Amino acid sequence: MTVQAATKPDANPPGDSGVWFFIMADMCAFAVFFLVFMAGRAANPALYETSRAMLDLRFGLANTLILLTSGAFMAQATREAQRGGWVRARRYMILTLVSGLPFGVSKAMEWNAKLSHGIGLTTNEFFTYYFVFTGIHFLHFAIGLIVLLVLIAMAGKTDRPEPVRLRWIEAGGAYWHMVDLLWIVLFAMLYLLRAA
Amino acid sequence: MSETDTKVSGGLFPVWLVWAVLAGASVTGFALAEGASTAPFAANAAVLLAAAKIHLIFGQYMEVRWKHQPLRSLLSVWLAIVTLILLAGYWSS
Repeated sequence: MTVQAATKPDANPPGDSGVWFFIMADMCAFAVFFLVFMAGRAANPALYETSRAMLDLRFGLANTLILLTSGAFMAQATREAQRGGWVRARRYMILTLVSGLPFGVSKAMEWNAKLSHGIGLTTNEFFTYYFVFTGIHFLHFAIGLIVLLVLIAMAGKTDRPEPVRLRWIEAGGAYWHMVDLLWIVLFAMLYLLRAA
Repeated sequence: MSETDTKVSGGLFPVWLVWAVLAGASVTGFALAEGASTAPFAANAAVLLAAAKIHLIFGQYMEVRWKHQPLRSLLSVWLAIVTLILLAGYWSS
């Protein structure tokens, strides 16, 4: 019998239904953010294009690659846990944490570069959205780091039943991948939509 | 191969293959935006590449398969709506 088969029916998604509810609600909130931003862009395309051109696309790409790499380690950690390889799962979660940390450094550098050029939250509508949306996303990233620390500690606790540990890792992994995919949309929307 | 291996690998590609596709799509979107391609082509390609990447993450990293209903449908509807918001917003500006 597999670990998964022992813990839940096959038709159930990985993780915990409560966490999936939170993830869906969070993603819907971000969808509203995207709608508000694109409505603003449609109303004032010249301002948004001028402001977009002031962003450094290399930061956006670097942040994307960092999160994708960290997400890959988390996916591998989940697969290892599903096979019962708890030591390897723990190692991959540590790699997830370590490879994800540069996102925070890169984001801080990018914000600092903008602020040092006099570009801030109140510069214009585009940059208000830019700082608010990337700030809220960063908050999700920071929470994800804390979740990862908890999961790394939990993976080593052999006194906890395996199904419980597996459910936590799958749920934490789903959250971490949500942070990743929300950034993918933000990267496309803020950095890559070059006006004609 | 054990039953566990079969289950874990069933329908899932190797993580690093998925990573390579995701990273390649990200670099392509960046190169189009930075390059000499026309702006509408680059913008639409960036949005569609982002949608494809997210679709891949749903299935391969989050491991939400079509048998996991209604979650998989909800995620797909969310992705369709977000893609539509970006494309419609772009073309109406």
